Amino acid sequence: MKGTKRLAEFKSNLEPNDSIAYFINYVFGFLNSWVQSQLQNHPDELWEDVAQHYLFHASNIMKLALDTKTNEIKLFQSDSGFASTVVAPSFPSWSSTPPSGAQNPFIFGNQTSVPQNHDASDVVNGEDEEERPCSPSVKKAEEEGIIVVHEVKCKLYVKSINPEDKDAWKDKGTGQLSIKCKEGVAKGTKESKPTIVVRNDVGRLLLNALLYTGIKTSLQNSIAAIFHTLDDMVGGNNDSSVMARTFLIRTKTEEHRNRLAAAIKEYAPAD
Amino acid sequence: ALPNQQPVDYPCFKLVIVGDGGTGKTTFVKRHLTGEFEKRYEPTIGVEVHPLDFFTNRGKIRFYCWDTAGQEKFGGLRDGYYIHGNCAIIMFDVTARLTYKNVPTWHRDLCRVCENIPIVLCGNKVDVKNRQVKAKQVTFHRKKNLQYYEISAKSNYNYEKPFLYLARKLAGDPELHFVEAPALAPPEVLIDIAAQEKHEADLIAAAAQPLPDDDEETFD
Repeated sequence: MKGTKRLAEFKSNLEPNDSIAYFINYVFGFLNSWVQSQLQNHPDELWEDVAQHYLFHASNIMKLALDTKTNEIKLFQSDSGFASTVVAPSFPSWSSTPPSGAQNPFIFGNQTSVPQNHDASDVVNGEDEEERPCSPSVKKAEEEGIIVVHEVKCKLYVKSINPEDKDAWKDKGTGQLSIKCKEGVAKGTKESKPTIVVRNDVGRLLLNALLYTGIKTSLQNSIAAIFHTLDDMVGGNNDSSVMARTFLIRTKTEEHRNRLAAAIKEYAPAD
Repeated sequence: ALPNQQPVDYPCFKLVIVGDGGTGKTTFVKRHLTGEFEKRYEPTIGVEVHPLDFFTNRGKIRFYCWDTAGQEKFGGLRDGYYIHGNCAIIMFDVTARLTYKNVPTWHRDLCRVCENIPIVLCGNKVDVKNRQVKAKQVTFHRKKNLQYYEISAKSNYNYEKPFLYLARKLAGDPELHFVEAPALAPPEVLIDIAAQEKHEADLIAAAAQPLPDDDEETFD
């Protein structure tokens, strides 16, 4: 309390041109010496009390600091370098980054690795779209020379590789399954590169693997099959290794499941 | 931003997720992270930070999701976690009225630290039959100019919408949309017949193992 008064005095003595950084440096110095003095003068007391005291002072100081020079605090924050730890510092087309994102919208640039779709005519007005609950949020990318031969909505599980896991199946979420092949290549051949892909509703890959010769799908109430995938699909690390893992694909109805099983058989390489 | 996290060369935003305990903040984040739907309730202590990447027509973006503790006793630094937040989600549970009543408090605390950031209000658990907070009763967002979404982390209803809205606001582009993550050519493997046969034996055993219980509801 004495300290707060001291700070109030200090504050009132500040020249208008004194920077807030100066004030804050003073505050930190003061707090530090105060903690030291507590430690020296009351070595046997419980630190909980000290901490409470400290917090009380800290909140008072915060109030003081906030009602002076609010604008300078903002400046202080954006100069401190904290902001740049949150945002990517080296991104080329970024405007300067104020602490709050709403006023000066960020601009992020186009990246060539991502399929572009600039057709604005089929993009509905943002406001309207938000009213409709089930509007798709993901634009599909058309791939040249690739045909989609089967599509179905599914729920995907992967078998745990940790034997200590009590849940044998790990939920990977729901998504759109598609089987894709190279256009103009005879189906059921290795050259047609038959690929099974499952994506969720934000376009993230859940499964991306090739159908292979002799693939077995065990049919029960769903399809279980072994696929060879990169072990870290989400992170997209290039150094991840290929693993054979057992996936389980559930579809809404038995009919969907049977059709999917037939498609896997049909498009997997024959020999 | 954090130890043991590689810096990335695309835009990153700090997303603060707040709301009462048990409203489904962690489950919502986990659903996006791994696809899992976590049924067990384990209160978050302090904060957990997870990077979440999205592919948009304007390039890849990352949200660092600061999944904060909802329960007061586990609050940790509380609004200390909000500093330099670029955007936020306030979560409540439509099956527990009190969690909606506390929304103004969360909003006030958030706005004290982060002025003028885009905020989404999310009413979670809309898959539950007995709602205590009807859609019509949710009015707070209108007064404060927030976006409101009814979501279900369990059924995935609208689960991508909060991120889409925030990405649009942060980019200043109302027409931004998600695109399919680029799929690399899947790995080609020479299949080791012996190993594969062993796998296939496992497959038969695996197929017989039960799926997580009461799963029927979670699918569509």
